[in-house]
Amino acid sequence: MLAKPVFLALFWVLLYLGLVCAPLALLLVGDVPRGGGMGWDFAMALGFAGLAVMGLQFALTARLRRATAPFGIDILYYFHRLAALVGLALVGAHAAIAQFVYPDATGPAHPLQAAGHMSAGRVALIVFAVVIAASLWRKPLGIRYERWRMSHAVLATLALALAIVHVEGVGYYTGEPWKRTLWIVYTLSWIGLIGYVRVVKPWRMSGRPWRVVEVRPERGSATTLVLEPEGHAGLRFAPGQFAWLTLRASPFRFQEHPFSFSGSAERSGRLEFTIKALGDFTSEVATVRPGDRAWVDGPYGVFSPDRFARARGFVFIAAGAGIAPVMSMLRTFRDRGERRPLTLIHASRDPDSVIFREEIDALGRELDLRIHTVIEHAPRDWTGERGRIDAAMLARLLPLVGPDCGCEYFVCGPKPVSELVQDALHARGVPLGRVHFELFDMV
Amino acid sequence: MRERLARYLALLLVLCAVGLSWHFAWVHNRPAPAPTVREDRSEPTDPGVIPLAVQEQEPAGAGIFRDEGCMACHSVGGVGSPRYPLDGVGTRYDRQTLQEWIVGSERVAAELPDSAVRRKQSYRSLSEAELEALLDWLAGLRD
Repeated sequence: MLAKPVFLALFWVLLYLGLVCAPLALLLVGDVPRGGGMGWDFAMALGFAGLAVMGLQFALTARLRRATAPFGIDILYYFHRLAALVGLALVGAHAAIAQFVYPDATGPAHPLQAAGHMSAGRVALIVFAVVIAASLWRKPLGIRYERWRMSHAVLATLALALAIVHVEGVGYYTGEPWKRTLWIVYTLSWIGLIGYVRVVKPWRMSGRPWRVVEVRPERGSATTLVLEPEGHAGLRFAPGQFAWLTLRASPFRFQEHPFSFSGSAERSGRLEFTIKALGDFTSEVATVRPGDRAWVDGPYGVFSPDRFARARGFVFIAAGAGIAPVMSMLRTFRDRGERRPLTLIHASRDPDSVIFREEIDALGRELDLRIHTVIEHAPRDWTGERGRIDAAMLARLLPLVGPDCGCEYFVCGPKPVSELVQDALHARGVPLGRVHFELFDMV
Repeated sequence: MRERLARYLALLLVLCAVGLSWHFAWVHNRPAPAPTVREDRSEPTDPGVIPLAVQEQEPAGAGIFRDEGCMACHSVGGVGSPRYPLDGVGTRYDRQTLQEWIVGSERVAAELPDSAVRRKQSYRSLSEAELEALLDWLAGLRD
């Protein structure tokens, strides 16, 4: 289920690059119209390339499960971010060369005097820039996640539509009927993708509802929601994977949030999500009641020990709510009778907020599991580790790393913790490919 | 690790896009036997061409040329879109042919893409006097 298919990954990467290049390559087939000088045609080509990158942005975030499987969907979102900047740079260069090198050819900038399709192009560029700025700086700009998400979808679609109008209005390279047809088919496939994401997928999800059967308060102001499928077979996941969860809203409204499964993958009939109240949407989770409806889009992610059947052991490093996916791994290992050596480094603020404290202690007796609980604000009588996770502490708790251990490392916690652990392990000779983490909180 | 690969892929994306764009431009502009492509876009010294910018008093036709957005596709003396330079057009075509090209008559429509025909045919709304002024000016663009 979670093999590491290098060829599949390569296939999707090549398909992506191919689709970016497709419009320009197709416009070169057969008779090409007369050139307008290297600079001019180069600028126009950059526009096509930029638009293709922007159109494919919708594919990168369409959560096509098969396409995301070889990479992990988190890295697709990471790449979506990078590609947005590339697309904006290409479209920006297209506009800048045309505007500044050939000012008379682009005509007046004032929207009342300019041709409609020229204004459409200019507005598209501005909207793309606004969409990207709002995503890069959502938090400093004080935009709520739900509002950002909605406006991101609407504005990105608007910008793409305006850009298509712009190309259509110019209509120079797409003059030949068959090229025009192919171009229309290509752009319609973007529109189709948006339709799939906004309509088909939610519609399919709405036919597979889940019901909250238990709401369990946990330590550390966390809450576990237990869900059962209502009239369908449910889903199977691998430990460490996650899903987008919609609570108390129709799947068409896109009020969903990604959460890791915290239950055992061997008991996929009931899904468990453990969510820590952090002041935003997560704080409303405690008010969910048994019987409430929920929708689940998943599973996604490659943060799973199931990808490493040959590992000699596993090390888990979790901070705060980051314990949820690790808990899924430990519970799954318990249900499977796992015998390999396991180590857990579990950081919390104080002893009372150690999520799953009692169950982890019990797991320590059933599995070959060494548990190190790290407490930031430790009382005087605390005998375990104190303070925050740092390189020295890791060296002390993990004396054997690299080839001596043959372990795979799973890190889940706030970004600074994740980065620190990566750097510390890498400095001691652990290859980066053995340290696994989920990228989240990107906007 | 995966982040690093994603960054490499983004770099590859830039290289592909820019490289292919350059190739695209080259294919459209490779030295072809077509004699109509003028490589020289420098300020003409030819007294036959009257650059728009340096005229003391702009002829009416030049003003119409600019205001009607002809420079979205055409250039004169290197000003405007380099795609279809009109320098010396007065030497190549007579007045009748020039008029047909301006308003996109049936005869020239066959040689033009649809979008260009639509645009040209919109100039049928020019008044008689405007069209005459434009023709005067274009006919005066001589090699």
